[in-house]
Amino acid sequence: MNTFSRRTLLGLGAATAAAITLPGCSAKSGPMRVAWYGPDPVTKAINKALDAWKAGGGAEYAGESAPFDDYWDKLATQTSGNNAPDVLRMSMSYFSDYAGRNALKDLGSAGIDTSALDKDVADSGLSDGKNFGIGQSSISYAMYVDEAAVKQAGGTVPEQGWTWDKFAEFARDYAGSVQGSYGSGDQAGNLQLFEVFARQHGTELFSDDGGKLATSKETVQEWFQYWADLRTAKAAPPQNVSAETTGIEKSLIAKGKAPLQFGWVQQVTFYQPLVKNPLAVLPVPQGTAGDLKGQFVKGLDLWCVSAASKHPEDAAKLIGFLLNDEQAIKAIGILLGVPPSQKARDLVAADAGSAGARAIKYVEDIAGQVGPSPKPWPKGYGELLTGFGRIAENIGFGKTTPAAGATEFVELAGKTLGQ
Amino acid sequence: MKRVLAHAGLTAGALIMLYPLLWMISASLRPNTEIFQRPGLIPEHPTLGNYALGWSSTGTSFGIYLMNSLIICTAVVIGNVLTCSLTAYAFARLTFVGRKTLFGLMLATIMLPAHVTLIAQYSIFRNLNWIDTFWPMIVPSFLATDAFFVFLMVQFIRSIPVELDDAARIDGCGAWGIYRRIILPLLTPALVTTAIFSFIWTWNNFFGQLIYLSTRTRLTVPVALRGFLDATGSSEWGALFAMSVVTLVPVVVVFVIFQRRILAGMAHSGLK
Amino acid sequence: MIANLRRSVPAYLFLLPWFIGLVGLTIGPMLLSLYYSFTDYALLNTPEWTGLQNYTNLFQDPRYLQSLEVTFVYVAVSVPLEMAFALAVAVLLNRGLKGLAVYRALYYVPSLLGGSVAIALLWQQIFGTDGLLNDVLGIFGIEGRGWISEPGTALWTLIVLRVWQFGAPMVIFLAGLRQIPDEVLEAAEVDGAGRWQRFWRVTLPLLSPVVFFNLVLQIIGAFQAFTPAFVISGGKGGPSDSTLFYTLYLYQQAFGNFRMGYAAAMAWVLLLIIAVFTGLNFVLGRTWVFYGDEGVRR
Repeated sequence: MNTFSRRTLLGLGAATAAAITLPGCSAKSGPMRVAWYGPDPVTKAINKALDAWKAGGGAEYAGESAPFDDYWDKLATQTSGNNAPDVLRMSMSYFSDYAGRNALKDLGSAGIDTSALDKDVADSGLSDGKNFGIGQSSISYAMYVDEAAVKQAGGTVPEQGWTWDKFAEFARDYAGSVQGSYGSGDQAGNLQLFEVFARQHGTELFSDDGGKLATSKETVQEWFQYWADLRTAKAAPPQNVSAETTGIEKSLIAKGKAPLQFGWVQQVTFYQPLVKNPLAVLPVPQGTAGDLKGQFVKGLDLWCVSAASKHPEDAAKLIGFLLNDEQAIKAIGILLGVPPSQKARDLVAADAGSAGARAIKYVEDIAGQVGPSPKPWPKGYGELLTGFGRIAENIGFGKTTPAAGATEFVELAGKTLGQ
Repeated sequence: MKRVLAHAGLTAGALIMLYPLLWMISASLRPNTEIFQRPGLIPEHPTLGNYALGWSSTGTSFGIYLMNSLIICTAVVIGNVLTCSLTAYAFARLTFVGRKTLFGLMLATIMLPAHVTLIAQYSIFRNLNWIDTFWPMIVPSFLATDAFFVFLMVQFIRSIPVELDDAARIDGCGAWGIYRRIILPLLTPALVTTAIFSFIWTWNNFFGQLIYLSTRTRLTVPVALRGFLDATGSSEWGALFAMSVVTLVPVVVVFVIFQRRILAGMAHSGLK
Repeated sequence: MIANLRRSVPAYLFLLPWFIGLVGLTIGPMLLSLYYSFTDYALLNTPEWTGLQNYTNLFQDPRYLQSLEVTFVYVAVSVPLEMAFALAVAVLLNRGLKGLAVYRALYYVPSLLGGSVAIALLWQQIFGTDGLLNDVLGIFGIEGRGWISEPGTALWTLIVLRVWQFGAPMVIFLAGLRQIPDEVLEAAEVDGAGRWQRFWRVTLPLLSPVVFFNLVLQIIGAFQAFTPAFVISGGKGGPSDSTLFYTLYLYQQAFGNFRMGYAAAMAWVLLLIIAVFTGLNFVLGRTWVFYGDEGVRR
């Protein structure tokens, strides 16, 4: 190929592409396919709900599931290979990547009954005035605290919540009084917690059109600096210890090396079995004590229908069924998160005193005090999520400074967003 | 004395090699909470519960996944042994136009990371209506697409003295006859090696199987194993280790049986 | 030419299955990925032509350069070590010691585990801050560290993993040793060659095609190493990108960030790198690889 030109290559590519997508060879359309991610208990629960759908005369379906990380590799391949499942579970992290590239169907006129859903959840899938997905659960960011351990160390959990300053003070005191323990895990690389922090500083994390960062470089730097100071004070662990706390089982709280843990509210049910004492579910620290405007309630996972679906009516019906049918609600319980409607929360009736019940109560308690929901996370969110963590890690290992790290993140956002 | 020393060295090495396996078996006998405690080899409260849990955890019996993997791996072994040896023979012993170019092309196919050809291959298999069947895993092996094994056999064939071919040719054998009577028998060690690796690598290769298979009852072992872990929720570590131990049994059996064949392969020059 | 082609017919018949596979399954996707490498392709859209943009972006991307460095270190250190181990153990096990079958199986066990999740956890249990290695070092009063969780040492734990899984080249060496006719070695012994001489003068030359094969394929394999880093670092290549293998970064860009065009450009640069190394191997191989079809006009 010595006369290597754009035309030759375009021709080559086009010819190959044509060879690969032969017309008239379209795949046969089987039954409606339903895909979701999650560990085995989730798979069992959704299968149970789908059994109820079939028993009630619902259309034929075929279910497929995978663990979270694998699911996205598979979905990307299926979608670009023109073979996406009809109904799919969608995470807010990738929602705009799919919705923004026309891979999802607008459900605005699909007739799915969302009247019972919490407003913020029902609107979670709105993008450019279209509705590309229906929220499956109401969630909010939270802090799970082992209050008994705090009491034992001679500390107290304030009534109306911590300010960030008070929280830092607490973490330092706790680490100082309990041998071999830290006051908190290092959250420097946690973009989802940082979003709350940014909103407490008066702006959203992203601009409304998702085209750029709305928060300032100074706020990012302040955040990185805050955790760097905690690490210096030994209130938060050194970076190599944090690097070994991936996963729930290896988290500091599960190993008894910290009295608290941050996460989405429903994840408390995964941490609770690993901790002796009951975990209280509390709001994350605030700028002004008691002001929860930085936090929000929304759907983190959605049910969507792929744009190429050959069963759009059945797909919409099935989503309506999963959200509203009593049997489906009971089968799914709180496995996908706190149920998105009052009716469902009453039906699920988690055992009083269980972590699940505390999670439900938390969402109900703060719902009236949180700020408005942000728009769906923008295209490229997944890349920023991992990038933020990586930059924080580099700061932790001393490869860069909070100031330089903040600059790097702002640049990364500039490159990634608005593409 | 020398022998004792050799054995001592080998045994010490074997222990380092074996530690992970022992650790895995030990982990499979522990309750979930104990796995992440200080590492040691003796479980405090040994239990077989993980095996029962893992076997039926997904609502589908783990035996089905084992069966599926067994079917696919067996087919891949047959495919690779048959077609890679045909291909290798042509490259190693026959003269034809474009030999060097095609050989280079064959090697080039393993130089490109599979992730970038995956989507296009997925489209091909979709057009053949083969998604969610075993064919995407099996058919390529019958078309000698794994250049690793072709090249392996080429090297082995080229170390067979060419005089043997000449002798057979004088006896009136054609290309096919030489391949059948001289090359294949003498190639046994390489064929067995190919069989072993085909089986084990296919048995462990999760990415393709994850992408192509969807229906629960068609899933394979590596895909099912990954299902025990999920970053978004609680993972079934105990069940994972228990089933990992179970899935090791077939590969160990295959390895041991086939290894014998390599040894029986040829301790003689093969001249009839 | 026509006569040549006619003479080629038997060979083409032997090559038929491979040829069908090449045309039907392999070449198309390869060419398509070459085309993607000159486009902006986000997996879910139609590729847009951007010319050499992806290629020029590569060399201004610090993470890409990091992944190159990680991979080169990995190849340069792990391949020679693994080859040496595999060859030494294979030669040792090829002797007439009793109970060798057991040892062979034992030495292959690590390779059976492949890239299973169990390995990931095990490696953390051995090389973690509270791991087995630090316990052992503690006995000798040496202060340990988080081998697997610090950027300075994490890659070395993966190198250890590769060397430890030397089973595959070992089995190939064993198979090669089996092909060496006993008569040749016996003849050398009759001629009064000692054990070392027999190894250097007879065994190694006769084994050279297999050594060559292992060398070429181990280099290709190490350049493309993906699973160990993928499994052990949870797909991230951490800590601090210290185990960001080339193909792991490629995978992150293709499937995590929806940049298939960029990933395809990475893939083709890697193909070129590997092709250069393989070509070098073939050129150098002429000086030390001894074939049974030597001196035959081909």
